[in-house]
Amino acid sequence: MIPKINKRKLFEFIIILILGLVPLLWFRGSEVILGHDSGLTLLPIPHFLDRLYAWTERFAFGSDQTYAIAGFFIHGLDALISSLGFGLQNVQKISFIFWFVLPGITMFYFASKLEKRLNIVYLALPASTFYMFNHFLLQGWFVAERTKFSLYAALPLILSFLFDWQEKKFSLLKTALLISITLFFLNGEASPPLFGGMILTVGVFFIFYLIQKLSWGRLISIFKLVTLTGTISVVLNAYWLFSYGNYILHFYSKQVTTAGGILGIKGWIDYVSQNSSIINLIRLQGVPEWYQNPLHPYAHYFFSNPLLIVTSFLIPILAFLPLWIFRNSEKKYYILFFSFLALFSIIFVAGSHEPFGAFYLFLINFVPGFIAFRTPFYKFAPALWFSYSILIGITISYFLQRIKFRNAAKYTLYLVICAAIILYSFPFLTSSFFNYMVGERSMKVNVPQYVFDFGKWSETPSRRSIKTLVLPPPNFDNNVDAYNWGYWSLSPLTSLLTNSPIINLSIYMSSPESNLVKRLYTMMKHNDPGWQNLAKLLGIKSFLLRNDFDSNAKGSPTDKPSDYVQVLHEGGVKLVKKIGKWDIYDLTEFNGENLIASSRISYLLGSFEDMAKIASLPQFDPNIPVYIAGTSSDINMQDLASITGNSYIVPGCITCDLQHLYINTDLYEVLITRNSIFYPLLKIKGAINKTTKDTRTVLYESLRSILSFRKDVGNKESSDKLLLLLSDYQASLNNLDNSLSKTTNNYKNKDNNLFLEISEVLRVEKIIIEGLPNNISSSEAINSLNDRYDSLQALKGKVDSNLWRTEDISNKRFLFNVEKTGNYSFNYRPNQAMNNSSKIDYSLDGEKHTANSLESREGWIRLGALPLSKGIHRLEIYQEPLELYIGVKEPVILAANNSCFASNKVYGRKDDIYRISFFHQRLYGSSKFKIKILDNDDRNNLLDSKGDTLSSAVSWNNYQMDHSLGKDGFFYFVICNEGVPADNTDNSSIVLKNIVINKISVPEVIFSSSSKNMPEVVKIENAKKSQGEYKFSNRELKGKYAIMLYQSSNRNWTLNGSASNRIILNGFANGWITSSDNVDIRYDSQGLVKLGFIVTGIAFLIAVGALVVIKFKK
Amino acid sequence: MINSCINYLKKIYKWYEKNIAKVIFVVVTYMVFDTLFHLPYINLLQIVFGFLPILISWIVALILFRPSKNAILTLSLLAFAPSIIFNSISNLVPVAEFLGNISYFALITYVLSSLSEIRAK
Repeated sequence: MIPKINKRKLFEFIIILILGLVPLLWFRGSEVILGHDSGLTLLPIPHFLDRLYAWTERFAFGSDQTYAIAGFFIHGLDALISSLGFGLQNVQKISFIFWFVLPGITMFYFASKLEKRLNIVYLALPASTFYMFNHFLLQGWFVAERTKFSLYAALPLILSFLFDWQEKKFSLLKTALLISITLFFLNGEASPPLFGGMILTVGVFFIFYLIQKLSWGRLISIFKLVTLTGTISVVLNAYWLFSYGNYILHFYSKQVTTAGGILGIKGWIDYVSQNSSIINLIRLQGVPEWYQNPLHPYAHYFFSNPLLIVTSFLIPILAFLPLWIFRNSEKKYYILFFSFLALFSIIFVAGSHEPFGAFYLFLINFVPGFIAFRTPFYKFAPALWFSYSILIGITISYFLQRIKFRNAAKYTLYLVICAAIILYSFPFLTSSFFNYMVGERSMKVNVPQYVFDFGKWSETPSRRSIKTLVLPPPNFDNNVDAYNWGYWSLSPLTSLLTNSPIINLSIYMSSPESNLVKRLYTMMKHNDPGWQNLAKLLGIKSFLLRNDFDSNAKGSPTDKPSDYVQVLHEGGVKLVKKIGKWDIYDLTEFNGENLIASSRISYLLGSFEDMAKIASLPQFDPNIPVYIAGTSSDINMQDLASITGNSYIVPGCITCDLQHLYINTDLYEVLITRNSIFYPLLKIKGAINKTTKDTRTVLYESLRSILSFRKDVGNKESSDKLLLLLSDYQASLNNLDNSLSKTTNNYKNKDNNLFLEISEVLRVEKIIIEGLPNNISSSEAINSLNDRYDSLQALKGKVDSNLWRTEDISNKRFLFNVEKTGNYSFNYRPNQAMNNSSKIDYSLDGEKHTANSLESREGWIRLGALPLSKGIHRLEIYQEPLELYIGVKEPVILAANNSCFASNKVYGRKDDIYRISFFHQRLYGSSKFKIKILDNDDRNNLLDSKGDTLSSAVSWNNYQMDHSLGKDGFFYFVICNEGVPADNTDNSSIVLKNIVINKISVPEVIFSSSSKNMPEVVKIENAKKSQGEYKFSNRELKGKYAIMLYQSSNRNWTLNGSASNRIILNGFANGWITSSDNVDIRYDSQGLVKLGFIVTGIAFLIAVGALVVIKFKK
Repeated sequence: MINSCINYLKKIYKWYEKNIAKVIFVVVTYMVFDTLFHLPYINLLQIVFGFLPILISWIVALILFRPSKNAILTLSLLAFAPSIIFNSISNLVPVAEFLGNISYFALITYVLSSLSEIRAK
């Protein structure tokens, strides 16, 4: 029997379907939506297929993407549409229509059922319209946030099933099956925070369920429903849950750290909650972007247009009017439910905004996992908009039912109201919301054909596995990928274009990987020797020069493509393809790509960054894998020793830049000082927590102690109290002295870093004390403070006498450890132009040496061979600084006519440090002079720029400053009359002498020793079975050998099923030491993915079968 | 018309005259607790219970005035009207925010006090 179709409902449903076609208004010409945070891809099918793997090569040096497998349906939909032969724009149109209309349909289903429950009509269409057209979704649509839309669409369905279960229309099993299947398809890409709105809604449902009748029976039924739904959901979602669970277990803390730690997250919550006041939220405003983005495309209309402002205040009245309308009704349950849901969700949506902000921060601090909700507005708002849609729909329905119009007129009014709802979110019709920074950035772009052509070419078998580095690099600070044809995103364009390993700086890189790639960029930009070696170490064979890259993008300036043209025309590099504005260059000699086996590895005693240093040595062979000491914990040291060949020792140049360590005293400010009424509690805590304190703990206690004293000096505490604090400080110094005595007894240089830190902290304490006497009135306290100062000085002298650090610009001090006695080649790179000297003086462990007949190659000077014994060594090299100032020796600077003195320009690289010093003396007048450092030729705004005032007097005064170059280029200093425009009558003048500009260079030293045995390196070809599996048989290497897989090191990569003897090679790659002839390398999580898909498939068939059986039985 | 206006204002004035002590008490309660929560050491409580001064004042107001549920609901809906003026025309956003808080607390009070009505009989 065909069920009778309700004409009104059919009419309403057709209207919703028509409204779902709105996305067709958004596209002009060949525009597509791309960039920002959208995740929309250029090639849906390959992108979807890549997401079936737990390991992807699209990012960095390969990356785990188990978190992305849950996007199966979202990306599968795009791939499905694409597979039907539609072009990219049409794929987006169809996909957008689906996601746009889906919330309307699910809300229509829910609201239609609610109409029956409340015995009303005219609810479903306005509720659905409001649920589709509102400011929350508008903000989500600018990046087509399909993950958010999926859960947003699921919300009405879930609640509808729950109401049916409550009313016993659905059985427990049916409800659990329906909820699980809904969340199976609409899973928000398994992003836990996106479930915020749903958790709130379901939570309120259970609260009301229990309020209605609080009984054990109901509690048990809730337990049963939650357990059954949870169980079915787990098996249904096994395809992503198994591997994602594994990911969460290992990377939760990493995610927190990436977000800036708990403090960073709280700061972010404060930032996004700034405008989430109740008055804003209750009228459905407070969208963070509206207030934070001054170029927001439409927010200003809602702030300034009186009609829109008045409408915004009508919204809460319309929403909460049902409380009044149904105040005496028996069907009050649903009205109270949605009102409570709206009001309750506001507490969460408001985040850290008053008045409930403290409660939210409490949850962040103390509820495990709640930290995931670090953007409260976007995560909890669905519950608010959902409840408002229903409540406003009820109000509209109430009034329409009471208006005594004819049906036609009533329907016209009905449609006019729906049109008004749409018009209130008018940017949906204009698509202006895609222009998220008006005049600057838009999501609508025309992708040049050559971009697609490159994508296609890079997927050809001969290019599919070649690691390609993009040029120029993005801005190092924010990694923005921006092109002058409009693409702008933190997601590299190439990751949306091809599955080939295109290397972009991104968050997917580990810190060492990122630093190594940055170093490679710097070396390439300056065409430094060894850059090709470093590229080979990283497995990079190819370079993509993007001549359309926007190197002047606002907020993310970077190098120009032309900066890299020269280096790409060097020997060893050839142009292999030109595709539109993109040029591809390859290294001609290359051994890496996927996998190599080597009979020997090189051993580096240094840091990750030192890889770039050893790569620049003339005799360095980049084909031999390098192991950095201490980077692998599960390595068998005997195996390692058996295959170690060349070794390199890179000593650290201790404080060669002559800069002090930064000690952030804010971290050590004390809340409760000795004079606080809570101090006894602190004593009790200290007494309970009696653990042995290490030297660092004792050190920072002394800093806390003097900061505590300074605080109470500021509070004008009495002399007695100050004396007590000073005695505490003396005790802390004594504790430090005692602790140090233990350390210095075993003194063998190994505590140099500790001594350095202590010296710097004591220096800070010294500065604090020196600034205090003027604020202390008690002579007794001043005397006591002087005594403490003497103690501090004595202690610092003791520390400094044990400390090995560079103290002046000429004598560079190094400290290094030798693990194996032997003869080492001594290589030295001064990091500055050398004076015309044929010898270098240095001392090793106090013994003076002179190296003559220097041999220089590619920047390195070989100082001969040195026998080095096992242990720690101190090295000091004398390096005379070059004088960089060229100009008048004693310039006179006049105030009149703003005549300024400018030094010559000094050229250098980013982060180079220069020391400027001179003597100055006043000749006439009283006008002040200011010194400023400039890095461009524009001197128009000299008065606005920052600078030091010279306190010139009749006697000579010394001035000295260190300047760090912020970018590659030049700087010079200028001295001008300060501020006030001078006239011809101002005869003020000063004179300078002994002007010196020196580079504070940080030279480099490498001790290297070569193995007598020539290493055998084999390039393994045709071993790659998939991006998570490699297999080969070794027939060339005998005994132990090393295997290196040029994919980012990850513990889930295993060799022959075992994770043991895994090492990190070349600073980033997976390596193993083995003697096995048959090698099977796998990314283990892929096994979990496979298993998960099987479980999911079976579970889905059973779930659907069970639903059919339930229906059939009924 | 004029007479009705005058009568209305008289009525309001009488209500105000009758309840002035209560109004002052509520305002003072809020000020006292707000000040108290900003004092040294006690301000530690603000880290978690920053909303307490408003909540306490609201409870005090409910106790003193004992408004009917309908009156609370009326207040909550009507409080939005002046908010429009303060939020946009005079740009007195803090006043609008205060009225928004009043509306919110009134609404939640009404909803909470109505929950007993949904209990199954």
